[in-house]
Amino acid sequence: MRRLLGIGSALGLTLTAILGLFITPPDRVMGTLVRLLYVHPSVAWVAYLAFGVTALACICYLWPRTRAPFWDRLAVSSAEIGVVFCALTLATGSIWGRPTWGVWWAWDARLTTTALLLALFIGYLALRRVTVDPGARARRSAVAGLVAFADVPIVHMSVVWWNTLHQPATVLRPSLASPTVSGSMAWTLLLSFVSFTLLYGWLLMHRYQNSVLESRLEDEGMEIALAERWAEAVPSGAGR
Amino acid sequence: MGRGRALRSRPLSYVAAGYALSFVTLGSYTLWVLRRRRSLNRLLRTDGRPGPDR
Repeated sequence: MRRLLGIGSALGLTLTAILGLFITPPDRVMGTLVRLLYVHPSVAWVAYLAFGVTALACICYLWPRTRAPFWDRLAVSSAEIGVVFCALTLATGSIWGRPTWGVWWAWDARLTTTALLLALFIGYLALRRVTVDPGARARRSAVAGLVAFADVPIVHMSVVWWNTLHQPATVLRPSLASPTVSGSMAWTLLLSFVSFTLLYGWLLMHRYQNSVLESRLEDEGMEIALAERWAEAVPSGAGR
Repeated sequence: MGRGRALRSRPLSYVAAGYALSFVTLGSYTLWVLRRRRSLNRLLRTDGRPGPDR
């Protein structure tokens, strides 16, 4: 399964790059800059997806009936991948904004809420490093993950709710039946969404495995530390 | 100013920069995840203690 995801995403991303850079036509309004459309929205979608999975895992961890370390590990794994994709969303958006708007950055509603989202999830990851006790860490970070996720719908709807520089959604519109892209451009965009999603799945599986190993290392490290302290304490106690 | 105008007149450089940044970042992150896995496995084989090479 994991290998299939890896091969699928590698092939899909290669094809996306070839189609996006060389095959698809330039846009009537945006010209060749439209080629960034095959990367930027897909990367943003994966950031949404990753943070959505984190939020779901946080709910499952907080719900007493489903509470298990699995959900905590899934939440942190997905959040870390989400942070990478969210940072890429901002970077690729900035690269698109410079030739289009004339500036690398504007305090626009969409841009600002996305930057806030990135900061919130970096905070979530930082919070996990503060607490040592695994149970308390999982509980606190689950609450923080849910609070951070509350920004996702605000980011998505910001172009509808406020008057912004950023263009409205191309595919994930309130009326899904009328996307503003068609033909080879639409197919390439779809391929890009699928490929980046497959990459997310592949990364999540690997990152989750790392979380399992980190927990084992933490447990074993604790056991060794206790054993060493015990070994140090026994001779001094016996001598009295 | 002149340099900025020259860049704006070459949108393909922005496109190339966007693609390069995305693929290089994701490739680096993927490598980091795989390397971390290897180092965690190595640490676990040495009972959680840092190995002699550390």
